[in-house]
Amino acid sequence: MSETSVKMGPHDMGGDVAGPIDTVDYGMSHWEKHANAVRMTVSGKKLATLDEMRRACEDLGDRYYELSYFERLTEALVIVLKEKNFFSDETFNKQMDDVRERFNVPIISLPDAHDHDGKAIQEDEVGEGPNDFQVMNLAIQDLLEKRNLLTANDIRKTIEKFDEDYPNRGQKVVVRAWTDEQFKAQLLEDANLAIEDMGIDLEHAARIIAVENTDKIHNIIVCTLCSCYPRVLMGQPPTWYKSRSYRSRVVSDPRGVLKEFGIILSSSISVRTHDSNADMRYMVLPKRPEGTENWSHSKLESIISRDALVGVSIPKIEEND
Amino acid sequence: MLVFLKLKKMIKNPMADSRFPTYTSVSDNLFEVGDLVEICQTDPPGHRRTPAYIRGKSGVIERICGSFRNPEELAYGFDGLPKRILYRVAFKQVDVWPKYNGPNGDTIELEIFEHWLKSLQ
Repeated sequence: MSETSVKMGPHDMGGDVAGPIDTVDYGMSHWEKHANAVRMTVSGKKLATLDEMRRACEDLGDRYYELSYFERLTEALVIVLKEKNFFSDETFNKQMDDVRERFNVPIISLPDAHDHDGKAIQEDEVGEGPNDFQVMNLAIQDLLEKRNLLTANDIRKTIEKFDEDYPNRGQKVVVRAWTDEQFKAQLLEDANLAIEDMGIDLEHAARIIAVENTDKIHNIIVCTLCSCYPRVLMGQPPTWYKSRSYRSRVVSDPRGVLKEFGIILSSSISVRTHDSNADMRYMVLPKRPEGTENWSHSKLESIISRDALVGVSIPKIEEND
Repeated sequence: MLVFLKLKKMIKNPMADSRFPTYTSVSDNLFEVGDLVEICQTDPPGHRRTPAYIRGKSGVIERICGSFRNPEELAYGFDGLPKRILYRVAFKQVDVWPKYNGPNGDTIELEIFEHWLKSLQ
């Protein structure tokens, strides 16, 4: 940490000392996907800005670290919507009670003979009913629906896009750049125009800068202040991208962090670390491995991991390729 | 006046809307690519997008991103206007972290709004 600067709050963690990074992506549970969709729909419909939600998050003080990522975003969203008079404390609490009541169904004992044609039974993710944060998000959704500000369909479509559309786009962009020099030049010049020309709709939601890995340069992306990420191009960020360890350490020790992801770079390669701290979002254009000259597009796509687009993985040919 | 505004909205060119480029145009920018700048070493309260670790450090303008609504205002429900010019500034890691473990060529690059920049030319 610089000796002269004062941290803005718990979120301002770039350069902090922190532990090793758990490089596993644990994905998202259903309530987190719902929480994400509610937040994205609220900002997409301009009911509140992401800046307001970030500010409310930052102002949580010590609770910032006590809460998990989506718990904290949920609390912040409620604070902002109350501030903007979409609902009062009283109305919100009453709606939360109504949501809980909806889940309050009697437990039925099934007859012994009841079976599911021998198939395994899918248990509820949360056997005890929804957790408090899921209740909060459902209450937000209900109250905004009542005022015709959003619909359940908006939320469902957002969840689907995050599950199915967004996560597969980045790889297609990389393959196009690997196989079309003119496209690559345009991608590096103005990524949004190049990507939208491929027929990918960025929904006016992200301004993307593509940074190219070469023999002499390796790029790595972070957002130290929150977890900015090109979601419409790459889906939801992995768990580690949002972690305190990654956000704290990448800016001051990118080579140490890369080592934890299994990448050791020689000192003849410059590491460019990009802190995505304002309006731009970043994707790394990885280097195409040698020996892939005659590969089909789908085979090329198969060696490009999401992590490679963040700069913590390098596409390579596996033995069985 | 109201009628005029409404009309203007209705005749908005849909083609102009379909393109959403990475960069927006700027005018009257105080800095150009390659300029040497220092990040203001101040600690005003409130929502800021300039991390503490980069305040007071010197770097070079890497590119001009465009003009954007000011997040410091947007965060409190204001409209964020007038828009502010956003730059990318590249810093040598060894200039930012005294104990940086890596070669001289390594950089850290951030987006900084114009009102956080001082000229070192």
